[in-house]
Amino acid sequence: MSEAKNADAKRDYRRYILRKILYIAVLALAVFVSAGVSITLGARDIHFFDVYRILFEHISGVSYETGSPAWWDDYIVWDIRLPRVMVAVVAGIALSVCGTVIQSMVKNPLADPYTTGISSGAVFGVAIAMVLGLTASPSGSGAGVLLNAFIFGMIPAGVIILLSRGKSMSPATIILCGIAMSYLFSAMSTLLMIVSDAETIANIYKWQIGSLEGVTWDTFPLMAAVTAAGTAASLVLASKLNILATGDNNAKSLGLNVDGIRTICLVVISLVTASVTCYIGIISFLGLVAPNLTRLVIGSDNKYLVPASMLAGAAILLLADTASRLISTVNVPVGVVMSFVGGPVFLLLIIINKKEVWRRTIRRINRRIAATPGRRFCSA
Amino acid sequence: MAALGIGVWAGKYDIGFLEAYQVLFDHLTGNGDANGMKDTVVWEIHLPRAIGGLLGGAVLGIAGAVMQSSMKNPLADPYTTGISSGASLGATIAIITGFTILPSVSASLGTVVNAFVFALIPALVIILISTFKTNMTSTSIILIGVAVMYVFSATDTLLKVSTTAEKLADAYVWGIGTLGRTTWSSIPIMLGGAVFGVAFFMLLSRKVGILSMNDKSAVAMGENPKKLRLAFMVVVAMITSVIVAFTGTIGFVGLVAPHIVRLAIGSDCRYLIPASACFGAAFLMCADCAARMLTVTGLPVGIITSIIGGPLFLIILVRMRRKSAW
Repeated sequence: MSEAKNADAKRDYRRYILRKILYIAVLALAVFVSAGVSITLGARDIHFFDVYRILFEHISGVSYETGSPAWWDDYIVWDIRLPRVMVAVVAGIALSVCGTVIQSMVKNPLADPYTTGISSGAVFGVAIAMVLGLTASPSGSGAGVLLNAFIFGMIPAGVIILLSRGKSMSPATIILCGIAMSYLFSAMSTLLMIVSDAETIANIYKWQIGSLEGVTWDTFPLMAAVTAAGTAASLVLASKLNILATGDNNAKSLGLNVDGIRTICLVVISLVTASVTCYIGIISFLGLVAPNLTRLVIGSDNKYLVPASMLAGAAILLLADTASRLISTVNVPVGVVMSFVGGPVFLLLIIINKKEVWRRTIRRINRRIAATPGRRFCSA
Repeated sequence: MAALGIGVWAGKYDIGFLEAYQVLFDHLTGNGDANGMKDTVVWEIHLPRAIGGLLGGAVLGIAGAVMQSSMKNPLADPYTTGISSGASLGATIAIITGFTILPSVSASLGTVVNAFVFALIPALVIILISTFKTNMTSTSIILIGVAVMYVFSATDTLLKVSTTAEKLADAYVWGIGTLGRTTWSSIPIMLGGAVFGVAFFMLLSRKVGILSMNDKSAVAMGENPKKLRLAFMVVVAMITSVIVAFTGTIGFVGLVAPHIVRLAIGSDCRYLIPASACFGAAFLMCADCAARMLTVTGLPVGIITSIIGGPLFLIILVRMRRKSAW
């Protein structure tokens, strides 16, 4: 009897894991294919399969005669079109990691760098750097702008985290606070922008709504480095976030430094968001859509949720960008496409307003703890 | 109460140039030629702007007061519920692509009609959702408005991106909300909308008051709360879109005005509505004066109202659990 039960449990568990792996594999494939499609788009006709061949040859160090057609193909694929894809992938990863972490931390499916005002704060920091030339570090280059964005991104993030510690506020109220802060910050950045001339306004405006237009390899290193560090930190913290989700008291009694973890998350989220916002502007709702979609498929265990929604974010952003370029000849910024996708999702999440997913995690953790005799910490 | 309204009403004029009154007076009495240049500047540029601010502020203030009372939601205002952005989208569509829903009417009226139709969308979405999902909190309802607004502004952005840099800067300033565009030609329509709105809600202020109690009491008093609320929302959408079509989305006026008035005179709708209209008018004109005085080029007034309204919104939100004002 108990053996049959055991076998059942094993089968269930295998299915549970298989589902996650399958989901991750599908996403990885989506990223790979849409990267290929994205690179084929442009004035010079390069065939879909040739893209991979060219990339492979570049990596394996094949060199061509300067000016030959093969050299041109290589140059266009590697130096012009690949940066866009890579930046999209990194930004997708970055924003969805932020979204996942902040959602798990404040237990609020509506949170994401955009709806909590972190992106707008970062934009304000950048606007200060660009218009007034004030940076927090004297170097004044990319790192200085990033630091500015980071500092101003911390403000809304800190407020949100402080507000969500108290139990008195509903998730919707907290997000509304975030939105109010983003109103305020965007009003202030507008204030800075408006004093400059029409050309500059148009430039900043196009940057601010989130566009992958015209990114080069220069954009890449700092963003990738920050994102890599942030992602690594989030992956390490994932299991701690699981414990945090059961409530502060439980987490403390399990020996977790609750405030310490919150502070680390705060820094990670603000820094990663700032690094993305600095270069490609506000990509709204990506951090909202990717984790929620993932949570729907594989549940809200952060150990799987963080890596899976990372990939989901990269896939979604890349697909959105590719789709927008395939559909229209006008350059539709990817930020706009994301708003079209994300706005309705946001609406749906508000209407459903389900707390079930969180409870399910807590129940699961409870079961795990219950397996150790004589212990039961969490209340669902 | 009337005194308060008049006091606020009069107060706003002190901010203008003292000389302006003299010039205006001269113009009215037919001595305009004596001043020449000054006369033109005051009459053709400053006065329409001032009147636009007055009408816009009054309408937005009243719209905010009515929405807050009839939805029993201290955060409601044409801006936060997405009505303004809907109207703005409709107007942008009319301006940039030239598409209007009623092609037969004149250009500026066509813009207004467009704005109105699009403003109805968020209003109806909010009404529908709050009818079918009765357990929605007031913050959730506002969030729905915000979500609708995001989709609208994305469409808006899409339209703007496809135009030239010059046009974009123009449309951008307009999107933030400015009074710099109001001329004499836009005053009649704005005035019509404003007078209609003010008159409508002044006459029906008692019914707004009934709605602000719970629905059961409203039924007991022989009203149909759902129908009444719907009618009010349609009128709010209408008067808001008339203003937005000419000034762009000026945020938070409808939020700030009723709250400050409520602090002073309480939430009796019979006084709240006219007082909010007066305060809204005064507030918007003050903000516009501040916007013009702060920099040489002049800021869009929408920035000033956002910078004042944003923090207020936060404060209301955080303190909402103590519903003392209600």
